[in-house]
Formats: sequence, structure tokens, C-alpha cells
Amino acid sequence: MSTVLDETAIKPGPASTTPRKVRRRRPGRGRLYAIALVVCAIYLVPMLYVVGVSLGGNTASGGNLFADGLHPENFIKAFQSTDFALYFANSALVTIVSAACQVFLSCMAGYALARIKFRGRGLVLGGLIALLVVPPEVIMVPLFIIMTKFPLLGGNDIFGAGGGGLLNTYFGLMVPHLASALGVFLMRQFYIDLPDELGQAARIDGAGEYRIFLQIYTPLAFPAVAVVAVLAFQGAWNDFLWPLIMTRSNDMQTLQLGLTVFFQQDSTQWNLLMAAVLIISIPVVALFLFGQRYFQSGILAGADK
Amino acid sequence: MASPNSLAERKLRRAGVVLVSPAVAAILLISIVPLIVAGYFSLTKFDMISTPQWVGLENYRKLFADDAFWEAAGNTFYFAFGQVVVGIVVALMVAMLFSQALKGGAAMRTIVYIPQAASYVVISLIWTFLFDPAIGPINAVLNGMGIDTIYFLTDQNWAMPSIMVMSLWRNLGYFMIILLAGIQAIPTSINEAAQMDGANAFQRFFLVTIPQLKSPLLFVFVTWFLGAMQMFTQSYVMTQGGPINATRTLVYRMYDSAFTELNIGAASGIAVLLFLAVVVASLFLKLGQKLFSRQELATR
Repeated sequence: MSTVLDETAIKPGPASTTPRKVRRRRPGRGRLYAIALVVCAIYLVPMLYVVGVSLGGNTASGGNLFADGLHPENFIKAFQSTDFALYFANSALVTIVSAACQVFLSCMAGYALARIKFRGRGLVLGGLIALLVVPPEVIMVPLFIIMTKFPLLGGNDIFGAGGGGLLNTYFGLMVPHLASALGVFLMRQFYIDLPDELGQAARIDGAGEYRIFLQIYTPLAFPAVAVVAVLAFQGAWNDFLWPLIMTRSNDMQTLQLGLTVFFQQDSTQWNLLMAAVLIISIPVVALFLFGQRYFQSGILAGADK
Repeated sequence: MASPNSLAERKLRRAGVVLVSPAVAAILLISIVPLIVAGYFSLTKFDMISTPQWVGLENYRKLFADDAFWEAAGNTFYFAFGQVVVGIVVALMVAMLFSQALKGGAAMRTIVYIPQAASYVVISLIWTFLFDPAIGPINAVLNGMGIDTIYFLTDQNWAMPSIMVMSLWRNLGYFMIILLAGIQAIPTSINEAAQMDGANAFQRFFLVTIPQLKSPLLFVFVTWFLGAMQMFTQSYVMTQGGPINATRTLVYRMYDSAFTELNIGAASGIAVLLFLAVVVASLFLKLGQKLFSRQELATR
């Protein structure tokens, strides 16, 4: 008995099945890796090319990026040239304040919509879901007029005439990014899946609703907060059309507008431009990579709506 | 016993209203009020300085008689449809590829996803360089293969397809991830059963995978299409709407009407029409999803 068992266990079993499996799979696998390599190359080659140009000399062209040697100082030069630091500060201020505001408002409203029954909840939720599909471009022109005619601000009288309103102000630049239906919706989807017992226990211990929201549920909602924060940061940092129409003077411009400083059709210094492109993109890409593990669930919650 | 309970309940409801109000107020100000205002301005003659004058549907009548509007609408549709039809096929193929257990698969997905993080300005500037006829690497490779230089951004026929390819390159990762999640949600037992019944890879793809992916495919199609309908930045940065208006889109026309022609009525009219297109498309999406989920229930 024992010898038969040993034989089947050692000799034919594992020894013959594993190679057969591998042999059956191998030809397909090789082709898959080849295709995957091509797909990645289509993405990696342009990205690495940008890095190459940003490190090259002034006369960079098609084949010969480093004819003049390596120039890592391009990054410092790009940062120091024409008001780039100012644009960077403007973008950072607008982005951080509006993203923080959006995260905070989304948490509050998302929590209330998920965990508190109040009158009008269905209406608010339905309205938010309907607004998810409204593209920001559609409301740019009327929002611009509302901002410039805002009563009693920026030299305007009570009828909104006379001055520029919120035109060319930091607050004006932040406005479209202060809240978003998507942020509220994503937070609500997360809060609704958290267990009721936590709040009930805290309520018995005498905690008020605001404390339950801030100290019990919101720390647990970190993955959703991360998704909303990254999306809000990206939206404000990468925005172009709104700052294009809302800024009137050079000192209010943001990075995306400032990039055009380097981009002058005939005399573009591509090495400095690409260095600037990398400086501008690294914060968002880094945030994306950080938020990535939370992203799939966030995107899919949006896709499911 | 009843009164403290109802007091607590009332407190709770008040907390709900307090928590939801700031976001609702902000969203009212930045989304709903502007939508209503756009509808109103589209029925007036308004130049941002004098007071708006009611003109009824005059702006729409003028828009529909305006060749520049139809040209922009045609360009926008060409861009959106071209990008999405090609894009959805490519995204599906890449998602199928990444649904296989490949070594380094997570890293490869990330690589495809990265351009999604960068702004359209950044992507546009990078590709302006790549497309450049004199110093760009694409033309260097083409010339090396004995093909004449292509003026990607200054040739009237090439400009829009070039921007399409670039936008597809940027957006692929996002939609690929959605399709990938859809593929991974298909129970493997279905595929195994089909394989046992002797279905080959092609049959399994077209008869098993695609029908199971109807909902995510419809979602990707509609959202990608609607996103592409709003194209502005790429044209503004790369071609300024040219050559000869070949890349002037509806949002670009809206921008021109408002800020160079000071014709807020026409600009708001375009905004309202874009909004209506979004509403129709998302109703279409809802309807389709309802239909598909009913079918899925029926087959289950």
C-alpha cells in the first residue's frame, strides 16, 4: 500500500502535469508579452523623450538630443525664467485651498446624505446625480458673467455694475473647484457602506452627531477622501479654460497659462519648455501614483451611478 | 420617553441639513444658477456691458443659419466620434491584454494610465514637439523610412486626426481600466464552459466576453463621447483653431463668440445646445443600462 502511494505521489503525478501545462501556455504567452511591450513603448517612448529633451541643449532635434552634452540646469533655468515661480505660487494657492474646501464640503454633504435622514434628502441626491454629467465647459460663460457682475465685490455696486467683480482675483479662480457633485457622490457612496453600529455605540456614549461624523466615520473614510482630494487637486491644477478667461493681469496667471510663456511659435526653447512641463506634471503624477490603489473603486463607483 | 427621543431625532435631522447646506449652496452657485442664466442669456442680445435685451429664439435661428456654427459642430462630431470609435476598440484590446496574468502587469497598467494625470496643456505641448515637421522625432522616423515630411498640425487634413490620436493616447488608460474591471467581473466559469463546448478564442471573445461587457462598453462610449464633445484646450494650444478653422470646435466657437465677438447670446445658445446633447446622451445611457440589466436578469 505504502509503496503504491509513494509511487503515485512522487513519480508520474507532479512530474508530468506541470510541464504539460507550461507547454500548452507558452506560445500564447510570448505573443502577449510582445504586444504588451509595444503598448508600453507607445507610452514610455514619448515620456522618456520629454525627459531627454529637458536635459538636452538648446538645439535639440530629432536624432541627436545630447549633441551639446547634458544640461540638468535646464530645470533651474526654467524655474527662474519669467515669473514661473509666481505662476507656481498662484497655482499652488488656488489648488490647495480649493481642493481642501472641496474635500471638506464633500465629506460633510456625503456624510449627511449617507447616514442622516432629513427632509429633502432624496431631492438633493437626485439633483447631484443629474449634475454629475454636466460638463464644466457648458457653464463657463454664464459663470464668468456672474463672477464679474457679483454685487458689492471688486468695485461693483449693489446691482453688480461699475467694477470687475471677482475677475482677476484668487477667489474667482477657485470658485468652480470649491465643490463638486462628483466629490459629494463619491463620499456618500463610501459612508453608506460603513457599519451603523459605530455611530450607535458613540451615540449611547453621549457623542453628538458632529463628533460622530468627524471622529468616528471620517477617519474610516480615508480611501474615499484620498480619491476626492486627488481628483480635486488635479482638476484645479490642470484647469486651463477658466483661468484663461478669469485672469486679466500677468501676476494672477497660473502655471497652465504660464506654460505658453515658453511656447512662442518661432523661438520656442524646447529644452526649457520640456523641463517646465516636467516640473508642472510631477506633483499631479506623484499624487496619482499615491492615490492609485484607491482609484479603481472610486472610478467604478462613478461608473455605476 | 417619547419626547427626548424626538428631540434627539430633530437634532439629528438639523445636523443633516447643516452638513449638507454648504455644499448644496456652493453647487447651486457654480452649477445650477449658471445653467439657468445660460438659458436666459441665450434668449437675449447681450454684450456684457449694456443690459440684456429679450430677443426670443433669435440667437438660435441665427446659429442654425450660421456656417461657422455648423462647421464647428461638424469638427466636434468628427473629433469625438473618430476618437471614441477607434479608442473603444483599442481600449478593449488593451484591457483584454491586461486581463491576462502578466508579470509586471500592474506596472504596465500604471504606465498607460500616467498621461491621464497630466493636463491637456502639457500633453498638447509635448505632442506639438513630437509632431514638429523640422525637429520632431515622428517625422525623423518617417523620413528615415523614406516617407515625406507630414505637416501634422498645419495641414488642413492632418490637424484634426493628429489631435485625435494625441487625445486618444491620453484618455486610453482611464477607459481601459473601466473595461478591465468589467472583464474581471465576468465569472470565469462562463468562459470555461464555452471552452469545454469547443468555442475557440475568437468565438469566446465575440459571443461570451462582448455580450457580458455591454454595460461598461455603453458607459465608456457615452462618457468618452461627451468628454470629447467639450474639446477646446488642445486646439487652442496646438493650432489656435486652424488651419482654416479645421480644428475649431463648438466650445472654441463658444469662447470666440463670448470673448472676441462679445456676443453672449450666441455663446449661451451654444452652451445650451451642448447641455441638451449631454442630457439626451445620458438619458440614452440610462435607458441602455436599464435594458441591459433586464436582459442580464432574464438570462440568469
